[in-house]
Amino acid sequence: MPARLCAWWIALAALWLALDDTVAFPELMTGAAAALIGAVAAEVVHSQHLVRVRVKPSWLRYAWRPVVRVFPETARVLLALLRQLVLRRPVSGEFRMVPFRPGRPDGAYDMTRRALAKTAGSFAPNTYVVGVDEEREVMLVHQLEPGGDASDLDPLELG
Amino acid sequence: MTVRHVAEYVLLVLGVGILALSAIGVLAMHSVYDRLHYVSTGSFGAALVCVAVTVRESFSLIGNKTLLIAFFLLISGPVLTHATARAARVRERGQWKVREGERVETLQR
Repeated sequence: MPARLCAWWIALAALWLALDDTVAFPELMTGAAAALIGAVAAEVVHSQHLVRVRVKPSWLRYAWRPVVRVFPETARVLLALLRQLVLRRPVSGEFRMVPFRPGRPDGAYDMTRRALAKTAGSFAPNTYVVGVDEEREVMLVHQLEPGGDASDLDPLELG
Repeated sequence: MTVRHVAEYVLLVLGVGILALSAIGVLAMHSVYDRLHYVSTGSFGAALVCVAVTVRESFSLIGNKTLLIAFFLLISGPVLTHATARAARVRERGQWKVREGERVETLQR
């Protein structure tokens, strides 16, 4: 526990230094105190075992997809807005579902997989993930301009 | 005017343009679910402004700081959108999950 607390303190103090951009003594003291508060908070959260992160490297093989999709999807969403404003054609998004294997609710790998799928699915502007329904084994998403296949809704293909 | 200046201005104009359109999108859309899409584009616009600052200042303390801010914006944006959409569905329907009778298209893998 003290080793993890120290690691958190060092990381947070480094972040403070990077953002504060000065080594004046009062600033350093404030940064050290703020980093200590953050490190203790992180340790308290960690001790509750609410979140456990385990990543398989193979999950990241399509990590480029959400990043590449940002550019065309931003254009698509902004064009939809212009269509509504200029041509008076109202835009209305839709909810869609894609099959998703949820895994164990409290399993570290499955929790991480679901979190990654939600983050990657919500990265590009046209789509965001509302949640993974464990009972129906589906992932619920919302799209402003409905379209695309399952890989557009789950770009890392984790389901 | 150097290539660097051109890149800087292009990124800045794109970033500010996307931010302005995103703000209009949030106002113009009818439902909270549609508005949330423009919060994502806003994060992307702000990230482009941060990259423009980095192009101007190079990898100095200021440039690195704006890159860090861009990274946080891009990572926190999807999480905020997801959490807000879920909260909106819970408020509207009592639960975020699809209820019996709600028409939602299901795709096949």
